[in-house]
Amino acid sequence: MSSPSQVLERLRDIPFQKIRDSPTVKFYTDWNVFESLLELDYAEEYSWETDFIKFEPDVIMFSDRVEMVSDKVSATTLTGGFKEYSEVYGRGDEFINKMEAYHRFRNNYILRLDFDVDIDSYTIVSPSPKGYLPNHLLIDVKEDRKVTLNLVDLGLEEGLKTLFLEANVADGAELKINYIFIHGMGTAAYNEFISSVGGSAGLDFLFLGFGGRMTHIRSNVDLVGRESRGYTYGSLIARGDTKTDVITNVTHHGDYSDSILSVRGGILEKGYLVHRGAARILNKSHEASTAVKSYLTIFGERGTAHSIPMLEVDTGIVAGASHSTSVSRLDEYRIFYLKKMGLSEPEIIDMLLRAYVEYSGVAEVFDVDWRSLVK
Amino acid sequence: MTMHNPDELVRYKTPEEILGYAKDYPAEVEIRGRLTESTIREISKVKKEPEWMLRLRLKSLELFNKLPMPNWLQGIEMLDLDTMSHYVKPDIEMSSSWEDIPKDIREYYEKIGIPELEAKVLHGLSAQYESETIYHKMKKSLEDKGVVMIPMEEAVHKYPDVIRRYFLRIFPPSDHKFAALHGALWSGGVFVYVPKGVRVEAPIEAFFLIGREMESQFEHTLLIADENSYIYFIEGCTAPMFKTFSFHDGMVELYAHKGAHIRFTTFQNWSKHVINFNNKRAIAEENARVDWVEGSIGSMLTYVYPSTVLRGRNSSSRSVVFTLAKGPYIKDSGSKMFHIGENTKSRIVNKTISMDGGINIYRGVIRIPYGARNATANVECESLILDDKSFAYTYPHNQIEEPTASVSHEATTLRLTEDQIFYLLSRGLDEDDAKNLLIMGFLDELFIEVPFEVANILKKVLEIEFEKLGGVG
Repeated sequence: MSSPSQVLERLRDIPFQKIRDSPTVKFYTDWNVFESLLELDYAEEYSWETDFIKFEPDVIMFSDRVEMVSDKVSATTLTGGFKEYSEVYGRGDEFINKMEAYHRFRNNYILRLDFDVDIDSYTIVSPSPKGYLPNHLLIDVKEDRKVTLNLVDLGLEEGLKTLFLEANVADGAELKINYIFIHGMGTAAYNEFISSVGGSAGLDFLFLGFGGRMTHIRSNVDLVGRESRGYTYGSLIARGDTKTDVITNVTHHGDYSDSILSVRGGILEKGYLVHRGAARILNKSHEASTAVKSYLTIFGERGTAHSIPMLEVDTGIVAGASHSTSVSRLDEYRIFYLKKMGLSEPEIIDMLLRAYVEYSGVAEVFDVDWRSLVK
Repeated sequence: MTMHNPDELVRYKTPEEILGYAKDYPAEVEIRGRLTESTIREISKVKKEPEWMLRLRLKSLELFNKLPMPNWLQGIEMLDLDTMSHYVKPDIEMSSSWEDIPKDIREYYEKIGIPELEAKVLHGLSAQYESETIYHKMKKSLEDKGVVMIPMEEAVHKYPDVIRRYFLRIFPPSDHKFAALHGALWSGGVFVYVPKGVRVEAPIEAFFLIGREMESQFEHTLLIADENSYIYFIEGCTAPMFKTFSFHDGMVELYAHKGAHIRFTTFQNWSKHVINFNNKRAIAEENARVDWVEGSIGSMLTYVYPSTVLRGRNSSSRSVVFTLAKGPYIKDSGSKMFHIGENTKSRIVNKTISMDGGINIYRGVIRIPYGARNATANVECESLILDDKSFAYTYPHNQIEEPTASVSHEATTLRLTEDQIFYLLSRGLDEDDAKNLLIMGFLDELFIEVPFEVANILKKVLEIEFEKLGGVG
């Protein structure tokens, strides 16, 4: 295990972010929050039992060990840290930013799960830490397999989390990830999801998130194979003083590949929510289709919503590429209409929030008590 | 050759051929080389400027040296300012008669029909060659209404208090490196003031021409529309062909006072040997309106982002931007709307066509801070890619801190589909005509924004650009 000071010395010259995000907002993520937590020691206390959601863990990942509750799939633990990881997977020591490098250097093990059978439900828990918790997962779904993965990411104590998930979906396989994150005002989290999807394979990345002090989530999906498919649907709720920055990216390599990036977000009180969705169709990907959608509603009086939908199209042989976004308050006419139908204003807000929470389908999987979470 | 009929333009294979290669024309003053304080002092001295303007230039130079190069700019690495001319005063006296303009220079303007346009449509015209205005004329009817349209240098001497109040205040040089460079080296351009309640219905135009290679042009346009006035201003730019390249870093500042309405239209058809950087910003006071139209056809690299600060209650702004990236060239464009006042409205329409390896990039910002109650913004981006070698990227930023705001954004990347062409073929059109019709339909919103005569010239220039598709028109 590396001490925080040793790691920070190695990371001294790596910036949190090289290029500013826009002429008006320098960085959408408040990196100062991360800066203030980098010297945290590894967590020794954890909690994962909560009334907010219901789940049965198959795996629980701590900072220095993994607890396999079930033996549904074959699991391997790589403990050689970043060095071993680099050797096994041929990754260099280039990092996109300081947090990625920080995770690589402080992460103690990598959990590799090979799915060579169909699995209806497999639940991985990243518990709520008191201190720093790095988790790194490699998911390999073999050819023609169908797997549903539930990922529970809790951060209800004072702590820092870095959670990395790398998924490979082989030809003809289907992977569905139901990801829920519940972070509180004591937690900062930097999470990365990297997926590669083969020919005629599909990835459904569905998430429901309640961000914390600063939650930064980045998902990159590579549609490598011909007729590959990557659908990302997200529900995000920004409460109180929480800050959430979610980046959903997809890159089309294969012909006839298809993607949707669609996020709905509700901002309550002084919540801060950013959704960046970027779709890129490479020159070699012909007849690809993509749609980026982002609909954010500000419910609170001092909420902030930033929506940045990006398209990068490198070919004229494209089946379709579009994005649409809206940022708005609760529509007066919609409220008026519903009041006319006999609903009170609190009932209307409850109903609309429910629509946002349930949009991605994850709330149903975990039977989420979202009303308590919102409160 | 005098061009009396826009139809004559179609005999050229490329728009560059219209003006041909640059002709040598003597300069009375040329300042080039390493950009230092003494360069600035020399320019200021040649222009016989007051001390306050020299100080403003020197402050801008200081900022230029301090500010970093914007790291998102692509393709600008070739620009080495120390090898460029920063100021070129042609050996021509400014006149209000085309007859006084030397034939070689006059021919440039004639070939693209500027004198004809002036005669038919315009109520005022200011033509700049290199760094100075060489032709300037405004109709007496406007003068009688109190409209002021004079070269920028003249305004500095004649209306120092007004210039000090607005010049580089709407677009401060501290904004970015190239705004600072402009502040240090500005030369030429036009100052326009429209008095309270006056409407300038027929357009007035400023036309900028770069005549030599390795030259930088930094014209500055400042337009002030007083309360409840209206003005329609057209800006045009072009250049002949060069063996190397030239650089343009112009600036437009617009101020729409209470209830004023400014329409500002730009058609840029620089040759493919010009790096074009444009800085455009407007401020709209209460009930004021600013409409931008940007048609960007030529140039090697273009960076242009018309922006409006909606400061007053009920102010509004619209920006229609069309860019054509043909060949291995980059068009980096977009619009920015900053909503400050209550009940403000903005609309952005951005249309791009990429072909023959062209790259179109859209960057836009909608910013609604807390307090800009009931602001609404709408953004539409459409990118048409005509082949497999070309690119289109969109990077919009919608930044909303006000819960009563409403923002919508839509973008699509399209191609001409077989279904569309088949439908038109079935209606009796041949394939070229079908493609032409689809492209013209795509650009329709641009053509309806400009006077018929200007639209006609624009269509002809596009016809040359789309020659491979069978021509447009």
